[in-house]
Amino acid sequence: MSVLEFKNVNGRGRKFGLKDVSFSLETGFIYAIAGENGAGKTTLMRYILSEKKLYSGNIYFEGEDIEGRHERIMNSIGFISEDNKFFNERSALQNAQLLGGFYDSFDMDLYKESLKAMGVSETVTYFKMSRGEKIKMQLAFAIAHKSSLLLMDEATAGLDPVYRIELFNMLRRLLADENVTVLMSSHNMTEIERNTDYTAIIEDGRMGGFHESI
Amino acid sequence: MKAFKEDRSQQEKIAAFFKEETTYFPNHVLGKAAACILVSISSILLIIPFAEYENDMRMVIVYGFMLYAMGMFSYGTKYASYTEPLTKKVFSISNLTKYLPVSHRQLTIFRIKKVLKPCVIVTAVVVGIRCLYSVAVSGGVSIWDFVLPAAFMIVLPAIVELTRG
Repeated sequence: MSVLEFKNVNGRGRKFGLKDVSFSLETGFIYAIAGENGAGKTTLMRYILSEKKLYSGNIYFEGEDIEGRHERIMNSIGFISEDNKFFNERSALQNAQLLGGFYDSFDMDLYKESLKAMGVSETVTYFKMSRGEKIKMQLAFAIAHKSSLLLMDEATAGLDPVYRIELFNMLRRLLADENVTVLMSSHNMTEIERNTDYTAIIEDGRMGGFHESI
Repeated sequence: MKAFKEDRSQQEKIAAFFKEETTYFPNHVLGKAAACILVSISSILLIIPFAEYENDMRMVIVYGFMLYAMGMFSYGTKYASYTEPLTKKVFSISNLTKYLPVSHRQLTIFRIKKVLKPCVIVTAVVVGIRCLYSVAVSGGVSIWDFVLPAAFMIVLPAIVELTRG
């Protein structure tokens, strides 16, 4: 059974949308969607994450249509992006104490362990964190609620090369230990080809199939 | 009515969040105070029975309902937005929770329930005093002494909360 499947997904309304996108993702791999800014990468993620149905067609998560199941699927999806919201003036620990309660199973000890392993202080305020630290904190948050799918929207953009290597090493370790799939988007083709398992190109809302990264 | 179906598990999580959230953001005191003042003033204006309405009086009633709606909106703000303590920037709770396993619909239901509770109490008090006043002044009670407060003091705040982001 695939973790995530898009079946003939088209954008709705006048706004920019995807055009007849179909694909499926298997567990244990890093998938990447590459494309220029405005090609539809974030739109694709929004279709999965939004409570409102912004598309026609079907999106299946772990075999079930996601329509009307926002709260259930969000228990198993970790979203890592600059767009993700946290309390700015609260620490990594306070954010988890406040927001972790929304999940069916949020493991605070695992969260603390992950933060420690990633070198992020649990007492540092969110707005004082560097971009890299924010991404790591979000990753620790996603690990703590036992996500089976990580959606990373331009998560590596603006990170220095050392942070990027560290992040991909962390993802590889996570993939080896847990039943996790990563779907990331980026406009950096070189980075994608080097660090991911499968890549697809998106352009003007149209997406080709995933092929093995070089 | 399916849209208003309550999910008990989510409602409990939302309630726990707001209980915890106040420990970090005890800055809704002003909102509550504003709500108390506005609702108190409007309640005094709204106890005038329907039979006593004249042209000038009608405007007083309109102001009364407006102040009441503003007061209840102010009270509901605690469940719709939060303020960062240092920068004083205001953020929407719907926006904060949009990638969390909680439905916007359930947040709205929670907020409406929270706002309706004081609405029902205030309305009951206002209607009670209106009826006593009406009996004392005109010897009877008009149907409007019930319909108007119910429509404006319960239904209106619920609609406002329903349409709030």
